[in-house]
Amino acid sequence: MNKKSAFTYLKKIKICLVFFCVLLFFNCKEAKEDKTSIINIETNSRERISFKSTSSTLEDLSIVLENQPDIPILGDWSNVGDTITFTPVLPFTVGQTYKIKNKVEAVYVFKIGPDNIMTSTELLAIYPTSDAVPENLLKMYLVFSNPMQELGNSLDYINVFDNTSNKEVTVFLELQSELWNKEHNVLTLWLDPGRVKTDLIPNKELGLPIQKDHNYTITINPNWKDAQGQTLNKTHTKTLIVGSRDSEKPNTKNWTIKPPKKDSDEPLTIHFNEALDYFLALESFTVFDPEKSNIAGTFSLANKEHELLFHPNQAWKSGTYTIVVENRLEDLAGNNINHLFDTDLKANNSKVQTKSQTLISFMIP
Amino acid sequence: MKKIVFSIIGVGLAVTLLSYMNKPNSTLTSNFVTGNPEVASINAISFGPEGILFLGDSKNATIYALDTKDTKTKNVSEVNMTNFDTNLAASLGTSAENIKITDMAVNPISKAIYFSVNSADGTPLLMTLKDGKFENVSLKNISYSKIGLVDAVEDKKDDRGRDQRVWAISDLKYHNGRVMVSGLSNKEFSSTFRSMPFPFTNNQDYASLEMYHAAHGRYETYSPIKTFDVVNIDKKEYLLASYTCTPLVLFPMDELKGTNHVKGRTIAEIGAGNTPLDMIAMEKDGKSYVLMANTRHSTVKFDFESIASTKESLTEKVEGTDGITFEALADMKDVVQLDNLDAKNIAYLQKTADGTLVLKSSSI
Repeated sequence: MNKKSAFTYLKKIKICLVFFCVLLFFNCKEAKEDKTSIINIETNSRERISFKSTSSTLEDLSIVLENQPDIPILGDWSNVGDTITFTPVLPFTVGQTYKIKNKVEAVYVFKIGPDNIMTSTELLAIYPTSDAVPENLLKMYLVFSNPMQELGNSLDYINVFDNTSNKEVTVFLELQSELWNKEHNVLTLWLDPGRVKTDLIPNKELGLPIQKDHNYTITINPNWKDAQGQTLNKTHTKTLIVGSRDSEKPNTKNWTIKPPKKDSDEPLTIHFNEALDYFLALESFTVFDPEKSNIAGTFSLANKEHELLFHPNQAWKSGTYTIVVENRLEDLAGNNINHLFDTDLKANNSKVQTKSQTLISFMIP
Repeated sequence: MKKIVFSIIGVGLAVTLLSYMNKPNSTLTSNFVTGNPEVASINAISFGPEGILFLGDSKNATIYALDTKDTKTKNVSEVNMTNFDTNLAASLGTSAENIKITDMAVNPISKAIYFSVNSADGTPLLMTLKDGKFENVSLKNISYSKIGLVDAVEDKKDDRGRDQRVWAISDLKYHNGRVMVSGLSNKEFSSTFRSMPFPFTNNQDYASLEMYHAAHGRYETYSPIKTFDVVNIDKKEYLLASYTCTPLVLFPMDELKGTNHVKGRTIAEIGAGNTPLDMIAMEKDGKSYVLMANTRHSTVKFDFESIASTKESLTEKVEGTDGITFEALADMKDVVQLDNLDAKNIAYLQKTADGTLVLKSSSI
């Protein structure tokens, strides 16, 4: 090999190297471009995610959870121009981190932050309001300001402690299908009816859910989440001071009616001689005017569910009014106007009343 | 000329074929509409004939019949998936603690397993597992019909016109042209049982079921049915129902009409402090059995012959267990969902020691 040819050879190598370097550079750039090809991402919605991409085709894209099984999340992919939108079947979960993948490679990672405009959820009320309850108390209601999570595990967040025996106790009936209202912000809790009814095996084996002369603290765990994944953030407690068994049916004859004044729109007050079931009391009454027309208005409860107030939309006239009470109205022990909760409902039991309503009248002079 | 004749015949055949294809081949779905049924919750699911899936929605107090069109016959006799709940949740972009599987049903034709799922935010989802992969059945655009669960007691609406009564549907089954639903109302602790013909009409039976609740030592009309199935004994159909604490009661199906008050016959007691979760009938080696999953006890197996032949009626108080005998299946503890996979095998979801769910099949 002469000097010239050696020079030419070296030059060739140089050119080749430069060519390879350039090739490498372009390759790197392409790879980099591929990685950063997702731009202008919108992640402020739980409902969908949109981004622009010039180098990805829909078939190659998938979204998976970070640090979880590598299973593509189900949803709809669509594109308009170079904007790609993914709408998951289930809205993204607050606090979760997701990866957008192009084929097998993660090209973008995003996290769903909490929604700023959401108001925090509070436990508004626990019924019965009164701490003093009979030993055969049948149910309680929890009322929240927003819908709560729908996972059927509410009892995990409700703890009952018997302060008298100094131990945690199981009081509420565990139901496969919990009893929430449609908005999912009111929960009905049953004290196990099999234990409340005397002489039944659960009652004999385990005794009443709550014992007379005992004092209990019900604690609502602050980690209980609402439907948006926010915790209650505050511990709520409720005391139960347990008294004697209530073995009397609600008796309308023992109620006191305070008639309103003529020409006023002041409320009609019905004083029960005991606390009644909050929700049943609100929906078991209708008031009729002297012409037998249903009076429009609203009902509210006062004095720890011992009193029902009816606020009419119109002023009262003089005459005889009728209050119609549904006989399915219950007291705290589940006794309704027709029969005690603890009744043997044999078909031939003639003592059980079957009337559906009771009428009470009052006069406005 | 020949060409023309052939063309005419060809067109004629095509038209006939098309009209045949367009003709609804089922009278069961002839009153179905396609659209969004606005399902608000899914508490129970069960398959009827022709791939029709019945769905119980407690929030809307409504039963839906969905035409899944999943009618391609397939043979599957085995399923297995560990970390079932984690995988199902991952396919929905969330973690297992944010979902609840409310029911499971195997499509008897395609053998695809359907799951109803509730997410923490209340989104109801219908999912299937086909060839080891999860799919979502869209409830936004589907062929369906529906019927509202009317209450025998007329309810008052609140001042915003909302019905305050809530149904908690506990079980749902299709049998021989009827859909049966059991549940509990939030206001009075009363069992609610409805039976309605399918295709849905305006008819609905409100039979009130009375049984002798042996563990309770008295007649109980209040107890809600947790799970049930329909069994055939001496060519007569019976509703076999189980309640909390856990009696097994037979009701003659032909008496569950109108607003009849029907007395049941308690044939077994599995013991207090237990809640039945699911019940199916199955066959093995030419013999029939009834399987029942429980909260406290293992899944129990009843020999169908003893159910059919027992003249037993527990009318005295019992302590512990009584009535017809049963076998407790030791390796089927903590089973939460059960269904028939094929004639010989069952599919079930079981909670494992680490708290995750496993999907399994077994010939028992």
